[in-house]
Amino acid sequence: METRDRCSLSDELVAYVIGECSEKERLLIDGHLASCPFCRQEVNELREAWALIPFQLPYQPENVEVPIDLKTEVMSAIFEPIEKPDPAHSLSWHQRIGKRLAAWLPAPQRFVMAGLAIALAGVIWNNLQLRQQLAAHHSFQPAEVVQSYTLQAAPNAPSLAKGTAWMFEKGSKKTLVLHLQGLTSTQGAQAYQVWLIHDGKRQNAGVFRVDQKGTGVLTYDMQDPSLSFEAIGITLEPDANGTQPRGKKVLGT
Amino acid sequence: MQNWSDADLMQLVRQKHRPALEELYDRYVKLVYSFALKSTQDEQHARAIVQAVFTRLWTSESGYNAEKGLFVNWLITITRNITIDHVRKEKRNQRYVPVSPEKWEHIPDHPANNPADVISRKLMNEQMEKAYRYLSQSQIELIQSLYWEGYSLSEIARMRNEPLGTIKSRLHQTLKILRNHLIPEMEG
Repeated sequence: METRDRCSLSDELVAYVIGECSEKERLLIDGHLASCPFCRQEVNELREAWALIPFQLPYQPENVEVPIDLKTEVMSAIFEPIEKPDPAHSLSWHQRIGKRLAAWLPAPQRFVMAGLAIALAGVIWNNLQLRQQLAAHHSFQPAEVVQSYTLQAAPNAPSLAKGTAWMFEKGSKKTLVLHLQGLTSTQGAQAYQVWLIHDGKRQNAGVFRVDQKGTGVLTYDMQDPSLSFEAIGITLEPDANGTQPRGKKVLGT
Repeated sequence: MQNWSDADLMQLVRQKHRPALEELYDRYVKLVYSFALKSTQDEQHARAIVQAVFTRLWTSESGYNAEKGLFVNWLITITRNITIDHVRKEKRNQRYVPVSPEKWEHIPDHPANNPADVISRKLMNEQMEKAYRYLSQSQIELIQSLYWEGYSLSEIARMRNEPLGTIKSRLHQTLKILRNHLIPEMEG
């Protein structure tokens, strides 16, 4: 059994009880308390005494008169935090704004602030106008096919495989649409991957899977509308995450 | 509403029930106000603290948990935390002299060097409660500075120019004496 003499923490416990020891000390004492019932009891008693202090003190509540108006003050601060009715309500809106600005700032800054506010309003209005124009622009812009490609089965691929790709432009946007038929169904994680070939380099243009009839469709928004390519190739990949072709080529221009 | 328990009222307060908060105010304002007045010795500060405590009850998300003890103990803990924050802020604001507390000890007649005077002046007119007659003057002063005025143990050690270990040991003895004399009195 542990005895008091074997614990050297006695005075450290008191700092622990009132929450004035370091994190390191706290952990140390926590660990000690787990194994020392004597110190555990000591801590409980010290806590008890600390908690009793306010109830046994010279200033007993009975001797103190709480100001009568305090309740109204406290409650109205809690429940009516919004400012009291203001004579400013009878002023027009621009007088009110003027008054607020006047309260904040000396005159020269007021002109700068007003100028900035007007400039900001102007920018916002201009922005809204532009957005509307752009929206109108988009919805009325006709799509236009600028190029079409015929895709044929690669030498060792199913002979029925064929497809067509169209590049169309709408406004400044270019989109590639592919429609492919006669492909074998994908298994598990397998996916068909489209590559745009430029100077012998292949760039990923999206992945797709086919339906039971072997038909697949893909639309690819050209991130860089100025990007050119000479050929399109389609490979069957083990999964949809490749950045370079790993599977065999099934279709190509 | 008067038959409701404190815990029930706190539950209603969390649901934003105004009469419940008012009932708690009526029950405990005297305790909270006395506590604040004892710590700050100033009516305006005490009013501000009462305001902050009841606002905290109204807005606090982490509410009172009845399983962890009496409501009144929880309320006192909140009151003490708010009071000490307030007192410390006041102390900071009043620090006109650009001298850090570490340097006080080098100024022989700085009032902080003689807290006993300050405290005994404050305590002089207060009637000592029963348990306190078992405490020495230095033990009472320690409780005053530590519990009511919110000084840390190391601040007190510095102010009194005593080793921190001595202060801890004194606090340990003080709490033991308080407990040994208070518990029987409260139970009896």
